[in-house]
Amino acid sequence: MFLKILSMLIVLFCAAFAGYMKSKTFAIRPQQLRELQMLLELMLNDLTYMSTLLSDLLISTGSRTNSQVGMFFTKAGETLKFNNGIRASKAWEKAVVENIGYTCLDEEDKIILINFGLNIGNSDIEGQARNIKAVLQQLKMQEHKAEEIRRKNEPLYKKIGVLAGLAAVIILI
Amino acid sequence: MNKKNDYEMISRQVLPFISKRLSQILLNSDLSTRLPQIEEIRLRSQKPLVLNCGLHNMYINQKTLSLQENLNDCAISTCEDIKETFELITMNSVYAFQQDIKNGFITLPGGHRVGICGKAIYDDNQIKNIRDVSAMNFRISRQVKGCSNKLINWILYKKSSLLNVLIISPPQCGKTTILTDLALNLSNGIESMFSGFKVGIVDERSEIAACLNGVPQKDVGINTDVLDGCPKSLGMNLLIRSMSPDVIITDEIGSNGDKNAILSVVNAGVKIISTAHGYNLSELKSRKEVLDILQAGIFDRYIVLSRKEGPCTLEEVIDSSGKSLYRREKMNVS
Repeated sequence: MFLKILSMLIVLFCAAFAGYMKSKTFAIRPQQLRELQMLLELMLNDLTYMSTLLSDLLISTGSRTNSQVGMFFTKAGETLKFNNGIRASKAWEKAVVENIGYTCLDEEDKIILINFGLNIGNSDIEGQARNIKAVLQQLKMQEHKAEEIRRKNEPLYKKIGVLAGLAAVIILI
Repeated sequence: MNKKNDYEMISRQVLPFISKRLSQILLNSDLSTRLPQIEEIRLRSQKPLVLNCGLHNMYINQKTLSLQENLNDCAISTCEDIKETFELITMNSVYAFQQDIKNGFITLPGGHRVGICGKAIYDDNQIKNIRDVSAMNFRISRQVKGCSNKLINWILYKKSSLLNVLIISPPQCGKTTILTDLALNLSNGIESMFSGFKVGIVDERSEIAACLNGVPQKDVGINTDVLDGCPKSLGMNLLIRSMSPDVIITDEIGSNGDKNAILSVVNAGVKIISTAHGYNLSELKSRKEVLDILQAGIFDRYIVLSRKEGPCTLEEVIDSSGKSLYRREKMNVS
């Protein structure tokens, strides 16, 4: 009897935990979108006032956060620095495609980021500033949408986890 | 530098900055076996890839990849090649080279210069930017050590002092190469002739010392200070105040304000060695700004160069009174 109760509790706990983990991904995405915006703003500042070379600029921008989104910048910067002849747009796209799986960003975010890379480094300061400001606006909108989704889905998935656990317990009884 | 080393220098320092497609064509061509002395590599949108070898152009046949002097089936530079090359020479950081782009050229490691041409954005009486780049000219920089040796005797005064000298020559005759080597010789000194002078270079267009991130890419001697990218008229005064040179070397005088700056150099007891575009002294006098400088009687010697016997051919030496001291044809010293 004791073992039965214990295993039911374990099933309930596991289901609730799975629901909690799933709900957490909805909370991480807006957070990562905010971090991305913060990094892009830092990049804009350095680009405007220090005219640092793009490879160094990307590496230093990426190193300013522990978040996974910093990998886009660091990896693209390293690719540019150590692969002679590669274009900035290709290096950025490669970094985004290879690392987006480690983040909670979705397909729409990925397209925005890849499009941002098409004009990275290939124009004067004003052009670069326009490019960064445009992607900042898009990411802001994505953040709002992600917040909406989080508000709807975060409690929902927590509840679903617990309820699924309870259902499993009932079936097992 | 022998021809093989020269080819290796180009493939190591210049080709990595040319689009992948064109650099592959150049690398796979018979450039490595025929080893022409390339002075310029020219890329023009939808036009043939041109290798300028001094007095003649060469092209690469895109099928056989062999060098040829006619345009049959020659390799073409596409718009995409130009775009990619521009990204490579700016290291994907066009914004960081804005000042260089405004001046129309970018200096590569090794001192090679890439001239750029496209749509100029003009505002407030100055070029603000060049965009839609449609043509590029890679000018291969070679330091020819010793090329100024034959000039030294015309520049020295009693072995312990220098004269104010103006070097006159048309483009591509080696004015800047001579200036670089003069800076090296004057700075390091020549054993048995003189010990070194303190040399200051005002390198307005980064040509003499070819600085990259402030570091001269050419050997300009141990006693040389380089003020890079600064207008001559401002730079000469600044150098006198800050570095107290014995001689100031600068390129291509003839802009507004040059006369007063040169006068202040001479009045401070500092010698000046400079250059001017022209075929001879009398042609130079037709340029108003230069005429003003000549009439001020600043220069003790005028040295005329040509490329009749190759670059840096010493054509004529004239003193301040206009008397010819040396003429190449007669090969005598008066």
